[in-house]
Amino acid sequence: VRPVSFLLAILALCALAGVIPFSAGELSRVIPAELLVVSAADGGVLVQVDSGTAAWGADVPEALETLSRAAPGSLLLSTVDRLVFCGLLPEAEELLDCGLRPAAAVFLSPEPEDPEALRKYLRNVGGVTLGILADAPQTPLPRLIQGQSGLYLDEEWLS
Amino acid sequence: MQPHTPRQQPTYPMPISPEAVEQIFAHADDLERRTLRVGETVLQAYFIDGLTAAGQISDYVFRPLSLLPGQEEETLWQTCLEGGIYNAVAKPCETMDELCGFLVNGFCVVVFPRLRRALAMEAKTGEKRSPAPPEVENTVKGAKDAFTETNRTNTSLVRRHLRSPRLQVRETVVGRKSLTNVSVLSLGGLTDPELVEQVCRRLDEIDVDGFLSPAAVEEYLTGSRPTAFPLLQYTERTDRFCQGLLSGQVGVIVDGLPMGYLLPVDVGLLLSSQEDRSADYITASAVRVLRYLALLAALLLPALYVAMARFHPAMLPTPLLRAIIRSKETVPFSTVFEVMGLLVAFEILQEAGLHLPQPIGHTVSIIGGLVVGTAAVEASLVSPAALIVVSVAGICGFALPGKDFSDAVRVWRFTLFLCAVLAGLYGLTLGLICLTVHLGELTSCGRPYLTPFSSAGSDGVILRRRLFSRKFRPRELRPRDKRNQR
Repeated sequence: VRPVSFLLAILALCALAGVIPFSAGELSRVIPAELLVVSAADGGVLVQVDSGTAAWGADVPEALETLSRAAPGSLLLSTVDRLVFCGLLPEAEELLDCGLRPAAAVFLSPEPEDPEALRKYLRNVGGVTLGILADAPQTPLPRLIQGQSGLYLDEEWLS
Repeated sequence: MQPHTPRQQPTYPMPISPEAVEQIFAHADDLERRTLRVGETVLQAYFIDGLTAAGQISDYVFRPLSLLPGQEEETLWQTCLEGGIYNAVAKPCETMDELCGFLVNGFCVVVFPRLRRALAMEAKTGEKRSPAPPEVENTVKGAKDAFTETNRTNTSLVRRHLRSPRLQVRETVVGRKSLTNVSVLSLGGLTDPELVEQVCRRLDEIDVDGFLSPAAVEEYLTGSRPTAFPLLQYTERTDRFCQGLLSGQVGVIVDGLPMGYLLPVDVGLLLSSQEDRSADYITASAVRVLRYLALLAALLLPALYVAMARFHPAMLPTPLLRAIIRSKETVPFSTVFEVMGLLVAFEILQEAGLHLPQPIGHTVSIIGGLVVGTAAVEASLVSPAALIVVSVAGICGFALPGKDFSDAVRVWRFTLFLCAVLAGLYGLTLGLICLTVHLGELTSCGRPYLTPFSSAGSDGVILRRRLFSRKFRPRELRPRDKRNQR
């Protein structure tokens, strides 16, 4: 019993002192993002998530930081599993450093589209992951092409 | 039976006399007395109404005494002792302690005043509860004769299951005031004699007024270690008790308690059920795996949920995370408060169900679990996810065979929950390490609690082996006869 009490006391002290390497949050305020669109805009970077929040920054880290602050709750970028780049190709390492997961699939798009619509369209499609892109930056990425009825994936990639 | 007083000190040091009996049993209105005259010799007979059968005393004590010819008290004593009174059991008493012990155990005692001796003849009443099917440890195929409150009935039940002449039954009396009969059972040539001696020694060392409650038996017998985990095993099933004896465990039966205790124990034994032996080895193994999974779920589920919800939501699959978040949108309480409240409510419901008569207890459980739970979710006081997590953990706790072990898991569920609240998965991991260290420290009669999970002895703990392949008894119990079958 004594070691348990000791452990609980230590943990409580650590939690109070804030030395635990992660912060606690309330689940109802969490906004898990599934798709992130990164596009070039006004000489900087515009980022949008499928939950509807968008933010601008001089570079990707700044834009993502602004996005996190602008979100109505605690935005969870580590749940992003689809990344769409429009008009720019940021460094994969940079994105990984911002907390995006290596398993996120990456696509190229000619222009920014509604992230919610993209999420639904890309739900079951695989792509080159951020991790692969970080290891081999020259890897060709699947492209979204603008057609008459909207965006569709490059047939060459699908085949 | 050879009654003796705890710590071997005489409680009533005076010599045997009718006056001494009257003095000790003053105000005991159920003590019946009868003066008997055999020729010129006057004897005094005593028995306690309710514990003895009056007809039996009349036929097998008073009638033969009245038929004896008049003789000297010394000669009469010798005649009675050597079959003059045709009673199956006739024990001489030399001290008042012995006399009182026999009286309170349903004997009729005849005092020979001049000799300062007495003769105790068994005349126990037949009024006692008959063996009935077990109420807690339900069985489909197993034996239906559960232990009763009577020590002698219980030892006879064991004898009926184990008709070995090598079944040893050592009897002692514990409790200065309660004078509780305790039997220690073991199998000669099989059970480790040191183990039997250790149990008997512990019983002899107990010096308490009353030895009546299960907690008293468990704490005094195991040495009251600072742990929630049981260090001995209880069972109301005679077949399980006998199986334990056959495996090399020592059995303890306490008068007044409708159960038998087995020791030493370990986690493997506490998580095994007698029903495992009623099913084929594949089914039994599958059920055992399920039981271990239930143990993990009962212990960890609320802690894992709160750790993930509070600190690591990204660990949950996104669709599941979205579903949980949606269900929590209208709940005004934090996840910690919600889960804590549900855990406490679950425990209260369980206690309420235990303390009420069985039909009302069931109703309380149903109303509490279903109606209040559903209403709380509909009123957005708790989220369905939290309710499911707590309910699943609670139900998994019921899947564990021993209630004591299940109670220990309930205590540790709260501890691990608090660890997870404070530091997420790090805290939970630390809590688990602490639990493992704690379990590793525990011993039951010198046997490490985690024995079956050591590399040497882990064979057949989780997956039940075929019975014909179990040639040897568990070596951790140090049986004298190691071979179980040929």
